[in-house]
Amino acid sequence: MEHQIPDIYQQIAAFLSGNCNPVEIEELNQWRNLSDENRRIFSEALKTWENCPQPLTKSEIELDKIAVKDSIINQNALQLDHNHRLLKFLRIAAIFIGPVMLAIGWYIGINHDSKQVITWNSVTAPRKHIAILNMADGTEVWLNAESTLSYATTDFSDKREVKLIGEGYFKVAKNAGKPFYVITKNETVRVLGTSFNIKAYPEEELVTTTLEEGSVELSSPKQGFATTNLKPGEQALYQISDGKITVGQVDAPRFSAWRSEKFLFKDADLKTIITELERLYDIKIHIQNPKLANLRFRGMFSYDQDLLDAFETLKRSVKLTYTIKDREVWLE
Amino acid sequence: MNADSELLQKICQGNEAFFTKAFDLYYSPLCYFANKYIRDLDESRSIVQQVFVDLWIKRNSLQIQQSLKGYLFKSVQNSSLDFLKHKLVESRYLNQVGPKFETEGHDLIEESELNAQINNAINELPDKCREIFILCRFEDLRYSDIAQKLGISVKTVEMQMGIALKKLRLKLSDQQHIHLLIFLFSKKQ
Repeated sequence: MEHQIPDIYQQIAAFLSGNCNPVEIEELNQWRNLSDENRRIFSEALKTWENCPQPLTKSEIELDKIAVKDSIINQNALQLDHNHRLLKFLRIAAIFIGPVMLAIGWYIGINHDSKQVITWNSVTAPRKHIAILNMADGTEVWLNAESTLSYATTDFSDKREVKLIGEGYFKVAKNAGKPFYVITKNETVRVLGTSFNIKAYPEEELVTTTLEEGSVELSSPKQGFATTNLKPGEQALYQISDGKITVGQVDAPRFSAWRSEKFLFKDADLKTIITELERLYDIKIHIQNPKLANLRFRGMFSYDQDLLDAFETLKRSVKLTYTIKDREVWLE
Repeated sequence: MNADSELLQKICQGNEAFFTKAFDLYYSPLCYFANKYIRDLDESRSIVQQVFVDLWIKRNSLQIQQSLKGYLFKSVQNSSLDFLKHKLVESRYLNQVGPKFETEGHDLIEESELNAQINNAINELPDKCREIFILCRFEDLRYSDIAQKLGISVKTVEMQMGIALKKLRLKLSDQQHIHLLIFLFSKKQ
């Protein structure tokens, strides 16, 4: 019965979409009244037509699925980053605290000189941010995230001595009569006037000193205070475990790129990158596939990018997948 | 254990594969459901996406008495109403969407599931056929306009429209949803 008019669905479709002429409409009407079955076909087609929703394509649905998963990862990362505003404030505060504390120290120094009170000031850069300090002697110090610089406010002007935990870039003001000392747990750097970077995070096995210009002199108790001199463009790697110092040529500015709140890596192995990421985002990263550890990566990301961006950057060098759960990440 | 409660259980345990399954199963009906309130499919999509994000984020602390499906539709309904309230505050045209609030949620759920099924069936049409059908149904183009736009004959458009309508109707008839269609249609009148 369905086929009393050839291509009945064509006719119904034309009718529903307003493409029938009066003759065709009448023809369709007659067909419809021929049987209950015809009426049923017609009404089902009509209801299908009426209930067609605005299209949602397969690819739109897939994209939305990805959007949901991304935003889940982002929200997880957001939770890691929940005190971002506070950090911003701390960062600004850190820039001001240095000079203010110096001024206070200087004031206390004047007033209590005779009593020999030594006041220590320390400045710590918060996670994911750097701090910039202008010291009283004109030296500028950039502190990388989660690094601390301490100095005796009372006699800094006399001795020019600072203690560093973490990473700092120093633009030391020239003063031939008064060397500037940077003391880390394992190594002391003696400076006359120069720009250099020193990286001495407590959780790392190496202290890295990179000289941009001028000259510095390294010494460490383990070496019986024997000195090592660095020329511009040289980098000293101090192995904490055995006190061995190796000096090599490097592209020095790359090692202080963090001063613009960027993490730059070129042919870096995954372990080095992971150490940075763990510190920046306060997470734990596990490498599932041991082969990954030996691969070399290059790329750059800013401190204000979220965790997800960081992994996307890595993915550009090497195909890898990551699973994020709470504060742990698995790489494969 | 039915499929829905298994989905719920696995999602609460943190099983991502089942979360994806739930998305595939409920996403489009939920979008059409939200769209009954919102009348803007893009806006509806983002509301439903947020409901899924929340489902996963809060999976550990969820206390779902009803089914996962019931929970999702309820959440989408709440979010949609919140969205509208917000819009109302913005526009102050309270009576514009007023009547829609009284519509029974349950009918809307069935209707949106049906919309999703038809949408699925449309998505499964052959490419050319789907393109022609969508142009005709949603862009109100006449056969001659479509023929000109796609550089094909009017006869081809006629034929493809016939094929599309037949496939859609048979598909839904197979799934025994037509009775529901008729039911809905008679209610509308």
